[in-house]
Amino acid sequence: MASDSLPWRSLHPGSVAVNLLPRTVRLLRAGWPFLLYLVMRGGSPTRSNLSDAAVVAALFALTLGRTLVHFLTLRYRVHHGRLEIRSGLLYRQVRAIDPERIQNVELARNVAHRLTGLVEVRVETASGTEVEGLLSALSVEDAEELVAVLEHARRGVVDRSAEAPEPEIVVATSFSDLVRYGATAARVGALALVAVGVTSDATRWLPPEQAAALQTRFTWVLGVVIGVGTLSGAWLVGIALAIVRHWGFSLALAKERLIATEGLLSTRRVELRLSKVQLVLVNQTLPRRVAGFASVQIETAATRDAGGAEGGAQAFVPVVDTDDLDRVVAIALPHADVKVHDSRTRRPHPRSLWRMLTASAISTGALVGLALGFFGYEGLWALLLFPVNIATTALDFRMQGWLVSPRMVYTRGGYWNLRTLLIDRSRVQSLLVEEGPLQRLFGLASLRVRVAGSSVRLPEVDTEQAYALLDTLRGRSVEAADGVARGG
Amino acid sequence: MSQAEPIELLPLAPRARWVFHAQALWRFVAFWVPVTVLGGFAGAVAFSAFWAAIVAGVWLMLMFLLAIWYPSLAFDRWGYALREGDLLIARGVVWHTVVAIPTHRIQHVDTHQGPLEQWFGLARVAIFTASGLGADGVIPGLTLEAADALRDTLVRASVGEDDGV
Repeated sequence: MASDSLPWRSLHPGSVAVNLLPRTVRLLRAGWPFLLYLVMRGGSPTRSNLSDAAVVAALFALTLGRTLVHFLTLRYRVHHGRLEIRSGLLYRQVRAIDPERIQNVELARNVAHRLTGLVEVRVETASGTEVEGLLSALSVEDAEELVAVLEHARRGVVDRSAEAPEPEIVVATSFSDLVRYGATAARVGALALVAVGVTSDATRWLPPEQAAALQTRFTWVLGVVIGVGTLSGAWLVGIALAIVRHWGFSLALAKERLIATEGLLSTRRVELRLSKVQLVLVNQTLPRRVAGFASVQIETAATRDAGGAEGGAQAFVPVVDTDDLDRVVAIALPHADVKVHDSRTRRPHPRSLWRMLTASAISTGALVGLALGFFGYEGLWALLLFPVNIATTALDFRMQGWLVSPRMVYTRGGYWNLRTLLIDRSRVQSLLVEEGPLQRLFGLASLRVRVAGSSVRLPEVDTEQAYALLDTLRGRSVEAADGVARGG
Repeated sequence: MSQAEPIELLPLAPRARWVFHAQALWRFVAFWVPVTVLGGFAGAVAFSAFWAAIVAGVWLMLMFLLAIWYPSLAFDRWGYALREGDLLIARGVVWHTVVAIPTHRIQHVDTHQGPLEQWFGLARVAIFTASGLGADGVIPGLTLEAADALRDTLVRASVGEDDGV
């Protein structure tokens, strides 16, 4: 058997059990209106129970049948270096993936996988719409062999007897790091706010006599106690979620690959090639800036919007100390010539502040108008939004910055959530200069840079400068001009 | 566009203006009329039938005038230029946008013809890179021959190049 090929293989028989539960859950979620109808409708107890049971049994049988067909028909192999996956009975599909087009390979194990000793293999390309090569349940040995064969097929290396280099740990997250991460999660604050708001509104829901009695007893001491308790509860939830998701996180560098592993109940192992990294995003909410750390997302072309920042990135590093950011970024982007906190960063145009304040005033005025329209005089409270939005806008403007260096595009913005993006210029796919009506009024424009899987907007600059940047970035990268060969 | 480096943009085919108007009128009939009528009924039930009718009538008149006037503006604002190394597309009435697509980044180029476009002998060109965010640039209202020629030119320019992925 050649080292860059595998014969046709099937999923592990345990895949039926592993896949049946999530498919059943998906069926229930998709068919909840029908199930609700079954529950709510009346009729003869005997006949409705029998017919309801028959319908549910039929749906479950359909799910079981599809799961069995999936197991019986799915085959995969590596043939002449390409991964081929075929499946389906009535609608047959064969998918061929060239190893050079693979952005990252992920090995995931949820609770069911761990109980059965199996692993899910996800092979992603830059098409960006779904996981292109999904093998839902393989044995660990088969999965590791497949990953190794794909890697050898890509490199054209026949000798598999050579030992793989020991990965070098770049970042390892400790328990205390996860506590810091969970305690500063944005959802903690939101939970706390919601809980406090619901608690304070509870007096409106009670009968008048009880509400009056509660109000007299609701002293500020009681309020503080409840607030602390609520926040503590919210914090505990945030910390618990961080531990469950990011337990044992490590980011390792092996040859020209980054390997990220994490997870307590569901483990996740992602391998990215350095040559496929499109951009690096450094995320620092205000609490985390105070706590002295940030989260780092390393994105490849396979990045999709999977519902939230953490879901979309291929490698998400939850905790990186602020002092260590440049080292981590330099590993993900070896050719970077810009630091995360770079002193050469340029500010947006001064008129941008006035444009932002004008836009903020217009949108706030519209909200105030809606509030007055719906709530009458009580809607005057919405006027408080004006000073809040003005302050927020000024703070956001203060944090904005941008820089175009010979190798990188750098942009930064946001006060409550500071996002710093570093893009390799050799990855730029297309560029847009956008001028909205307000921007034209102030003589401003924005440059948007598209890379594979993402789109990044720079802070506003003068219109002339925006077009000058477009001309600068549309050319070939400095790397290509220098004749520097890109590895991987 | 930049004053420092004026670029001559090629316009769309003249008869594309009729396609723009036809599409706008179709949107008015197929979308705005039913939506406004439904909204008017809802307003009549929730508030006042008289005022709901007035508001709905004024809104429909505004949408109709926009359908008559706006497409010509949009047509005049659309232009493109194939430069050395990139394709430039400018468009937008309220929101001006200029897209620059380096030719060495182009993954594939599609030409589309809807029923209206087929009737007028026109086609729309959509250019895709590896951004994965849909078409990076669209040029509507080209004659079929011009669309095919542009597509072939762009694809030839991108063959064998590094796609940056």
